[in-house]
Amino acid sequence: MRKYLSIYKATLLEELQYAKGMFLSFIGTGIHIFIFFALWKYLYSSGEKSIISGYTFAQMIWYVTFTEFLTSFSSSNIVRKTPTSDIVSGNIAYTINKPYSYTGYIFSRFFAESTIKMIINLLCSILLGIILIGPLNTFQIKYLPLIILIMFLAVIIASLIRLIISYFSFWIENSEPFQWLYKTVFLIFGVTFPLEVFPVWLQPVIRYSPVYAAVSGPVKMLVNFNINEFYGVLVSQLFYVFILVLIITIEYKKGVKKLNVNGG
Amino acid sequence: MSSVNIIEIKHLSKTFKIKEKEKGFKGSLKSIFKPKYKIKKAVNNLSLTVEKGEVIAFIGPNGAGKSTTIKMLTGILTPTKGEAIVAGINPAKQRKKLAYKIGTVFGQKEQLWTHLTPYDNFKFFGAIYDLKDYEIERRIKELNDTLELDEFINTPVRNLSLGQRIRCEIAASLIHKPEILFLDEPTIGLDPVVKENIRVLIKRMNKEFGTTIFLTSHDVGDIEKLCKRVVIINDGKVVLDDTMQNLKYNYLNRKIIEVKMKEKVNLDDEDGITILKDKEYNLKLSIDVSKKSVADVIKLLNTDKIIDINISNEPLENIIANIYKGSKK
Repeated sequence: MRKYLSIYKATLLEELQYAKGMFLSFIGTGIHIFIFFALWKYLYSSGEKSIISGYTFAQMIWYVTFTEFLTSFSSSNIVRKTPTSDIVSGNIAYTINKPYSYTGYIFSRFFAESTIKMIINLLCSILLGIILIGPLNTFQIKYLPLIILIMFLAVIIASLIRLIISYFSFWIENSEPFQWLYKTVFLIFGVTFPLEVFPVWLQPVIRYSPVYAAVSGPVKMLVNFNINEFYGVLVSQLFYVFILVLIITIEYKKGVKKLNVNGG
Repeated sequence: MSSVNIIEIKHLSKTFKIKEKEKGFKGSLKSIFKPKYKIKKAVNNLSLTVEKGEVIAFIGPNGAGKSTTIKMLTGILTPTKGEAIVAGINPAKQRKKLAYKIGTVFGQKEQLWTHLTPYDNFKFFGAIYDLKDYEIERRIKELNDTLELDEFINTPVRNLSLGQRIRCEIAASLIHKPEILFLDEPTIGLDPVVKENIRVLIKRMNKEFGTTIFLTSHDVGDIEKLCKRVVIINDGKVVLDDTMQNLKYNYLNRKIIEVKMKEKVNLDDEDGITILKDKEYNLKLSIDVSKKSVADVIKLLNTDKIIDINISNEPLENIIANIYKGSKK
């Protein structure tokens, strides 16, 4: 564990140099949130309903703000691009000859980057939400530890999927189209719209998918906590963490045997 | 004293499947729907042993299979056939366990964290190799003394010169006291003075720590000054495995004679003599000493007419290049 903590610390020092860049990149996220704000404002004001699919306007805006906040972690280059470029360029050879697991190395670096990202993005997201819509009245502080737990697991699930896709590079040259597919599916079925907005027949499919475990489920608990639903989200998350860890372990083991590093 | 083999390679082979594409846009489209592959034997039935404490040069032209062999020896690549045992461990099966026993330095790749100082990097690598804090401190002191890092040990790596960085790369790869150090082009891009320093340091650590050195380099100076044994590979096969002394003795059958004459001498190529340059009163000859002695050639030139003469061995670089060419035929 000490070695992964060392990788975490070294990356943290490295990433601190780019904290300003992370702050600026939130501007892009802020624009996304503002577009959704305008869109939902129009929808809420055009009809007579003050609640759409069980969400008030304030809950909907906080939902979008925090789904954007969650997905900002898994869009990290460390899980999305670094393994792919390491595998394709052969640079992975200089990392896997050390006595640690490559997946552990990537995750230690990812957590270090996420630590800084979390501080910046959390502050910016709360500030933006308050400016746009004001405080979230349905939020209950007593559930905060539980919400933090499922938020953390959500980040793990999303980043594991990203890393699984990156490892496709052991077999194919470019895994980016799959990353794009992931982003699109998550954007439509998780980030932009909550589960309840979708047709009834589609809802079970989404509810049991990783999209719900990694995005919509945890954020729904933030805007409207329900203990029974919380257990549902938690069980689904634990299931996905287990399955994804299993997949990534087998995938890496098989992939690294296929590694083709030329040169020299 | 009995010798112990620290590396044992038996019939090691590695084949790569390389995608081939016909030229042009049509070729690109065709390769999507009907991809063609070529099988390349990067390493072909290679067998070799290295004794503990040896300094061995493992050389060959580009694409000979050196790097692929090193990558199989360090557990990065899995052999297609054959087996390698490094420090008693099969790299393909126990890569992580092997990592504790080997160190690697790739001259063209940095493993150090550039935003950290060498000292912090050494602490980092010490933790990676599960060393206790007091062991790391003791080792840093040892390496600092041997590799003379004091002047820049607290300067961020990104601010170091290339020579200083390579010294730190070597120190970082030695932090866990590896039994074998794989050096891949350690002096590439360095100026002659720094190159010489690095060579002295490599020699010193082989002597002081008893580390086995497995060196790959295109720099003849590295090979000549550091290694007692040379293994040349080409097309994935060993084409020469001999001591540096034998290499020089057996292959140095040519001498280069450069003379400045008082007057023009008319000399033709003959058995054992090759004229390399003939410009006015200057001559450059290559002599095959197995066919013609140097004394005979000087007599042929007429000693009274010689103003200046220089007799030298054929450069090791040419010898190695000729072995490469010979092995291709």
